[in-house]
Amino acid sequence: MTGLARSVLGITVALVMSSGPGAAAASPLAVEYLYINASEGSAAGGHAALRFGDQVFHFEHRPPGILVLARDGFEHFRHLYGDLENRTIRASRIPVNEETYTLLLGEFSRRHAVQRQRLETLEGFRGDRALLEALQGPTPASVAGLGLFAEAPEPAATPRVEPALVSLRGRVVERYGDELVPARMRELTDRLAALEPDADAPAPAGAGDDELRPPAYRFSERFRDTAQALAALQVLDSARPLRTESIVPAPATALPLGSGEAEGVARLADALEDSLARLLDSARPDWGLPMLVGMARLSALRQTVSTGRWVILDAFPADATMLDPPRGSLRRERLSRIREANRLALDAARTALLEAASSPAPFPEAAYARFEAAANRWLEVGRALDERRPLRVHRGVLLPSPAGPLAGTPSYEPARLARALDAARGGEADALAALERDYAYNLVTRNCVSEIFREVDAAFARAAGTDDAIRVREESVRRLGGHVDLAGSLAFIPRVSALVVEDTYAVAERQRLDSFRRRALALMRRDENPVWVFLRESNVLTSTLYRPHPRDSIFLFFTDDTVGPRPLFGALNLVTGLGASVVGLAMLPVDGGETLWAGLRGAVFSLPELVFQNIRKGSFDAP
Amino acid sequence: MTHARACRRRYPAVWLLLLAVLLGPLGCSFSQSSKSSSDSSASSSDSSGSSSPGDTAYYDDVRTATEAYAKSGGPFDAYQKKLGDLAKDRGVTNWEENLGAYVAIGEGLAQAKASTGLVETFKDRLAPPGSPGSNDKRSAIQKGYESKK
Repeated sequence: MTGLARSVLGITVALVMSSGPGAAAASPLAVEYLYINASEGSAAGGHAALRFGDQVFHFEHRPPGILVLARDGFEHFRHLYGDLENRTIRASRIPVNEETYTLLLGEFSRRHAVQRQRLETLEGFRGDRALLEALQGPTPASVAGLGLFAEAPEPAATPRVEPALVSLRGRVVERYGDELVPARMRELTDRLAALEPDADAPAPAGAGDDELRPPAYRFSERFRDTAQALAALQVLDSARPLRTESIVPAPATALPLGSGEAEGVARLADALEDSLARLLDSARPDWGLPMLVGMARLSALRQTVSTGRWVILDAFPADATMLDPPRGSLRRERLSRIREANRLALDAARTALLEAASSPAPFPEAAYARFEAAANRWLEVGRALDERRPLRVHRGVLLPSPAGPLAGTPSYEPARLARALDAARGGEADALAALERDYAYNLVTRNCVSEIFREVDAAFARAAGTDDAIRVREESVRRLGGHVDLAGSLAFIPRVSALVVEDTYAVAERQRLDSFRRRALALMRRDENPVWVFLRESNVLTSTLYRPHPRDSIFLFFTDDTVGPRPLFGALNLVTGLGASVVGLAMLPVDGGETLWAGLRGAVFSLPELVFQNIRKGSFDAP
Repeated sequence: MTHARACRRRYPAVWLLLLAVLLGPLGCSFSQSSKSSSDSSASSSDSSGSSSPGDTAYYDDVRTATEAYAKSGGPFDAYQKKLGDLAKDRGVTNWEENLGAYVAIGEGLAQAKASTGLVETFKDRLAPPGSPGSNDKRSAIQKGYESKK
């Protein structure tokens, strides 16, 4: 696709969105039932979700076979499903009054929070187990964030110091006196040693328990927070410099400071220094990590001013996924497009950060974190392309916090550690079993559709103060104009559920958010001869939009936007898939079955096309 | 053994695929986060960190956590830790400098129908008099509380 076409596409997407549910959401309150059509692989049955303004709730099928209520920003949700997975989203807008909106949003938020707490309980047991196993060994405990800094120097060695932290230390002494840091370090050392590894942990939830429980503060979390606070003071006390590995290596030409930016960066550094000095006054128990990360960012900002180019902390976690270095031309081309999109995101984040720096407000951490993450992603793709290195990817938040060994890790009584470890292992097994019991996925009775309507009914039962089915139904009719009853119906199928919603609820408006390819084709047909566009874009060989994606099966023709020729294209796709499978058999020793598997999937997903059905859409690295 | 059974044994993946096509149209999406990573994960726009639930979702979380804690009780430091975890989930570590969080705390207290005495307790624990920004933080809690009372 040409740059011009991409620009036009971007504008058109924005227009489509502004006249769609995005704009509708700004008018009187409404909830939107979203149906996302099918795609191959993980999404063969389509998907369903409920949208409240800029939030989308949807139930995902996750390992080990449980159904989890996920919450996403609408734009991110649309990008994942509509652009990258090339799926069309149909929205049915149901106007509601404020009370119903609040009731439904509250119910979904509560369910999300309850389930997250249950998942956190499992993670808590796992955290306890990992820490207890580590404490039984001879090596010092690892503390997240401490790995940003050089290890403590040997007593006889001349220590290197970080000027930014010398300055911060001076600010702290000026504010609190020179006894604060040593006294706090003694206190934290004592507190760490006094922790009880075998203190009672919260029990896993009982069957049907769907209420939020009091928050827990487990042994591993107390150990982590106390250790991070102690580590932060150790770093501050000796003004330790950053480790070389903590900074993303970048050529001197990358990210030079622009005209006038140095003053903005200096203001940011000053604001962060103030913020860190205040942090020592905080009563929160987990101030150690903000202090460690903040000191590293302060060092990076001061170095940015002194070197005249942005110094960026490496924010990828140690367990980031490593992809092979880009070698093939198609992959390099795809990554080049991603690098360009990342550069635009970085420019926007940089502008927002420097604008925030000009305000007298405290250090704008959220803006800085967005800039730091955008810089990491841009530099990472650049290094993979330019240096042919493996590519690190991470879907979650990027927060620079590598672990480092804590000097003076206390030793706990072995018998207590063993007892606590047994309890943690048992608790982990129980918590996992409870999740599998209460949230087990079932294709028919508990899936992404059934749970939405179950949750809607739960909200109305709460409002009516009864579980009586007739009252719940009446409440639903009163508030939404109808009631969706899944018992004995096919409405558990996402596609059917969308029709049922339209027939049942008081749907005021229907919107279709076309998939990435459909939108792009519409633009092309407007600017070019439609016949030529069809001929060129209907197949993967000459398409200017599509590049073979590792996630996709092998196929020849797109059938998502054509109905008449679908069986013919499907037959050709079937032959293509079978042919690729034969080639894949021959290549088995070379590629480990990759081509064979893609060919088989290509053949199988061609079968519905023979009877006018389409599942496969192709994946796109849409900007 | 029939030929079909022999095929099923020999080519289990083929049969699984056929089954997926037959039953697939009924099923739901598998988790995005469970999918194997690809180059698209390197994109800023594909990362949940850059476009995950924005402030609305964060403040909702703070309200919900506060409401639940005001109703259930428990160690106060566990609640404070929870507030820290919620902020960290969106890449922010020093949430105490965000006055919006204090407004959401006040709103959560109102949703829990907390007494004014309990609200004062929260103010004293989260923004003790004399601590940095205490007046602004206490006002923000009160503002949130009154807006949802």
